[in-house]
Amino acid sequence: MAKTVLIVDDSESIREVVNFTLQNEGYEVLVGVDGEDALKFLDGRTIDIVITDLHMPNLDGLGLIRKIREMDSYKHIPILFLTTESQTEKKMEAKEAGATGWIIKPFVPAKLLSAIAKVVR
Amino acid sequence: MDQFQQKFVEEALDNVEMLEENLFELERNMDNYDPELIQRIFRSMHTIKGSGMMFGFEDLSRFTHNFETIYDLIRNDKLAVTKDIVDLSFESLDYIKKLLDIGEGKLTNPDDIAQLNEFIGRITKHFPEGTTLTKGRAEREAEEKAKREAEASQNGPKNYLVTIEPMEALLENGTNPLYTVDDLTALGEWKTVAFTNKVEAFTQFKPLAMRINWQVLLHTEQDAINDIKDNFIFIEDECKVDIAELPAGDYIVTGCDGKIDELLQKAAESGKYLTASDFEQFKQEVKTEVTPEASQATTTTDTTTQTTDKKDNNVQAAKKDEAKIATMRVASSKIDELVNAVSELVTMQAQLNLVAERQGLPSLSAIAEQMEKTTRTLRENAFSLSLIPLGGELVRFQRLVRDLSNNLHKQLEFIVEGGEIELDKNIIEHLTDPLMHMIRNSGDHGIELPEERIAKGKDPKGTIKLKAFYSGSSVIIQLSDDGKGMDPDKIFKKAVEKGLVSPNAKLTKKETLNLIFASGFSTAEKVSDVSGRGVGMDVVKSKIAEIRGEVTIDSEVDKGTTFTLDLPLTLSIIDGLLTKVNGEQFIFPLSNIEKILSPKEVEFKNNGVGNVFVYDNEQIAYIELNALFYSMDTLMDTAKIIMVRSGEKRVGIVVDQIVGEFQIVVKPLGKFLRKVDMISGASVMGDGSLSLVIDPTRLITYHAQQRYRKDIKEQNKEA
Repeated sequence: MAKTVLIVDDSESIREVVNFTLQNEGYEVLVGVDGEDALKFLDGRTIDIVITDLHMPNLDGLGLIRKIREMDSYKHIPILFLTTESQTEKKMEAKEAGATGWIIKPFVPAKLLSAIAKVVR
Repeated sequence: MDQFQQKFVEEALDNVEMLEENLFELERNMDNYDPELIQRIFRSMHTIKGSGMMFGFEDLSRFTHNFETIYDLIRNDKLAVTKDIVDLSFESLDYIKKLLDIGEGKLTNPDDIAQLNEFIGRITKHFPEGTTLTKGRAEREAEEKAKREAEASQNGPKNYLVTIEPMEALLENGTNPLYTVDDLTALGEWKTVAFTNKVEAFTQFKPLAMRINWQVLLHTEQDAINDIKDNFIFIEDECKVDIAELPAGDYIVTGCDGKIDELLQKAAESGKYLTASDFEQFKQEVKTEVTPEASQATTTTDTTTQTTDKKDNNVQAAKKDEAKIATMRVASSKIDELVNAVSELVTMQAQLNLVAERQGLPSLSAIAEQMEKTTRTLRENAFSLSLIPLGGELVRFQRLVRDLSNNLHKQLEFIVEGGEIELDKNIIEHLTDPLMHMIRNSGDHGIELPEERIAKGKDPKGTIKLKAFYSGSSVIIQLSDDGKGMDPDKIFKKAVEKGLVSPNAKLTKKETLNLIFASGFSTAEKVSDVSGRGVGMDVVKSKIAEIRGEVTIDSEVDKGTTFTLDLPLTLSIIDGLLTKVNGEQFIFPLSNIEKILSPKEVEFKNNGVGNVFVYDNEQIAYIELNALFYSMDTLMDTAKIIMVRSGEKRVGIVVDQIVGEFQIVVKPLGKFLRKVDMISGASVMGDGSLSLVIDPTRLITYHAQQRYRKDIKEQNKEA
């Protein structure tokens, strides 16, 4: 069965390109525009992986990761976050919040897919 | 440009706009800025840079990277904010806009590339000495790759023993260590051994506690230490990983069939990790041919981990509030289509009403009435969709004022009130140029030089203020400055010189000031490079008139000038009053109408200048449409006077008959009739007939001009 990916980013262009890449690879894709918006998808349905940006209005990536890790159904699902090379501190913080891994922006589709393949198969 | 690039450009332009706003704030508080402001500036640039790279805008990315470094230095207190830096930032912004403009994102013309490099040089000049120039990501990656390849090429096949000892909590953050082992084995020939001796007995089994360790024996064709390390990138803090290079030899591929499996098997049973020396020994035993200088490089990665306490409470808490998408982006062409469709619907609605009335079927009338209500709601909704706040354009004006200050050596301040006021996007599009022009005029001709202002006892800093507010069904935008104002006598003299008005004409102050809108009039004595590019106030007026707006002026010598723009809320659908003149249908926008009078209520007379009627003790000029359009007499039995206000004046327009009030869709007239500006458009009525939409302000102007011309002709005859 196709894996379901929840992507969360406040940048429309990033959302579109990630969505497009993943759908092309046969993933089911859910799209949230920020952390708050993404929560509506976490209603018990199967989600295989979450990919989230860190800087977002309303509920940021760290907040979202913490919330997901508190939910019984999603406690242990892989979560990747998008980050830029210079944010080592953020990386640590996100890992502490419960993230599984990260994808460094900017990324090409192949990189995105290989990062996902690292945690979901 | 593909759709993603298009999206990126749109988004980047939003970011540029935000940057511009933030730079203004920085400029205002140069000595005492909020550190968060620098963060915001940095973030906007960072987004442009990062996404730019993703969507192929490499030059943009490279440029922004250097630009961003400045703000990185500032936020780390290594560089001070100076006027130079702010000026350079504004210039850089313009350049970013330019780079966003290139279709495929890459500069191709050598001159352009030289310009880019020169600009980057100007930016890096600001970096304090000793700043290590951080290389762009691409450069660094290329270097790293080259380094790796160089390393790899010097080395032949390698053997590694990788020991993986995950922390107990590894599974809790969604990691599956088997994938890591899997990826490792993809690098070459391999053997693995799993150490399960720490797994608890079945009755005490904890599925989430990670108790298995692995060792992977790996044979690769060339140096693979970096590839191996890359595999642990996500879990380097949650695993103890040891990578040992084994003495050269071929443990897996040839020469030792089965024996290596025995070795691994033994290790698994004993629960003791294999070490490099075990392989050394093994090699002796199986007598594999080896080169003597077997190196032993050992890399150990070991960092403390934190086991995060997981709280099981409040699991449902996150579910309760379903967030909604607050706004969404829609192509403006789609909104135009919607508005067009609604316009058609409004027309058809009128037809339906007519049919219902003629048929006299109560059931049909009821439906028609219901539908009219819904149509009205739909119309209002569609209309509100095309409204956008004026504020979006304001940054451009602010920028203009800033540039004006610099170019003209004047101190100018731009104040905005009512940026949240919303207008039809088509109106805003038409409004930007005239407003830019007026602001330019205020800065150039209105505001005096600082010395002059001080001599007059004014604040050396001049103010240009834009104020927007709703008034009835229109939006008023006032643009005022506290500059030298306009002298009515000078204007009159000049208008006479230019033959725009007769020297004997007696004009009120307002009428005199309004002469600056006449074509061929320009008060600038010298043509500077800022204003006076041949675009006069007449163009401003006609641009505003195109969107059915009106512009008036008020000025006080040495106090300043105020332009007032009266704009309609929307363009396409209006409430109109249908009238008949000589059997033809004419529509007046309801918003222009002040009163409707019957000729029987008033007294007509000639006051010496022209025909007027008296109402409310006021003499009001009137225009008989029948006389003006058809040179016929008005049908006095049914005639009505429509009183409209044009600026300060009230004027009566006499029509033969009033039919009633309608919602109408205004369609522009064809090319050939564009010059007939007192007719602003035409509309198809419910019964399919056509009616013309009158622009009362223009009609009055037209009428007045005709009278002036007649006056001048008569004076010439006398002379």
